[in-house]
Amino acid sequence: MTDPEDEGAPPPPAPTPAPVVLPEADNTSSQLDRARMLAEVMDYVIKVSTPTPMEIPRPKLWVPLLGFACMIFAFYSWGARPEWIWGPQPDAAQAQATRDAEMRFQMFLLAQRIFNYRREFGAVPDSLAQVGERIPGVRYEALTDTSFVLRYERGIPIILYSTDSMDDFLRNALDVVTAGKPK
Amino acid sequence: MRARRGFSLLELLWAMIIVSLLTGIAIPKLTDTIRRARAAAAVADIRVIYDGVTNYNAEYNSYPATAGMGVVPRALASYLPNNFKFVKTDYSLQYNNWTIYTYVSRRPTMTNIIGITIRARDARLTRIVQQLLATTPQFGSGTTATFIIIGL
Repeated sequence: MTDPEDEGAPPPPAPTPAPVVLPEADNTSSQLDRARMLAEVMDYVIKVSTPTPMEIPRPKLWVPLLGFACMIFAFYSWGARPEWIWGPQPDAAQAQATRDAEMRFQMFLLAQRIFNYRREFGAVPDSLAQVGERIPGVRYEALTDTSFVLRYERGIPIILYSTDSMDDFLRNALDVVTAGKPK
Repeated sequence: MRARRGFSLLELLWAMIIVSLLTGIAIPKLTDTIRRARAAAAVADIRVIYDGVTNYNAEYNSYPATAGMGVVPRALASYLPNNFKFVKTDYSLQYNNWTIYTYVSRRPTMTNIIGITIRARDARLTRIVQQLLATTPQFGSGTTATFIIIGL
């Protein structure tokens, strides 16, 4: 039963709750967790900072093959000297017939020089040095005061006597020389 | 990091490929182009001499006498550009005038043959000049070739 004098008085304050005290076991668990986490971090740091061996890329098969092919090609180019790389080769296609005709024409021109000398001095020269012109491989010989012979004796011999008919000597030489060179 | 020493196999292979291509194609092509430029200059010189000779002939109705290799014919000098030389770095030129004394039935009116001889250091240069002047009457081989500019 309640006291009437007590009616209307404020209620007594509620009792203060007791402070929460973590059990001993919880504290120990937290420290272990932290230690484990620290160990994991350290492991990771050690793993990351350890130098890994550099991986050397292995050359692919086509690279050495291409290198070898290029080397073969370079040897071919320097050895065979193909025209599409090195341009036209000297005397590659000059036929014997053309050389013969050109030599005949050159000897014909040399003979004209000697005729000119004979006309000027009354006799043929003793040597080609006196006419100031010579052709490699052509030998000159004075037969008489007014006649001479020119001899080319490399390969097929060509002989020009000053008394020869120039038409017979030249054969097709004028046509060959006039035709120029094939491109 | 450790400093690298030498080259890897891959680098050496690539270097080999590039050097092979250079020696196989690029260098020959380059030298051929240079040679063609020089040959074109030689052809231009021959045309200049031809013009000089025709101008001389128009005035005197004759042709200058032959001169030695590399020598400018005295009579022709005033018909050529100033300081025109017959000796160039890669080749020399010679002016020739052959007077024809014997009768040739196929060329009955042939009295003079005028020719320009080129003697180059490199036979390939001469060969290219011969090709560039393919339609001009000519003879010769190796380092020397003669072009008949008048008379045939």
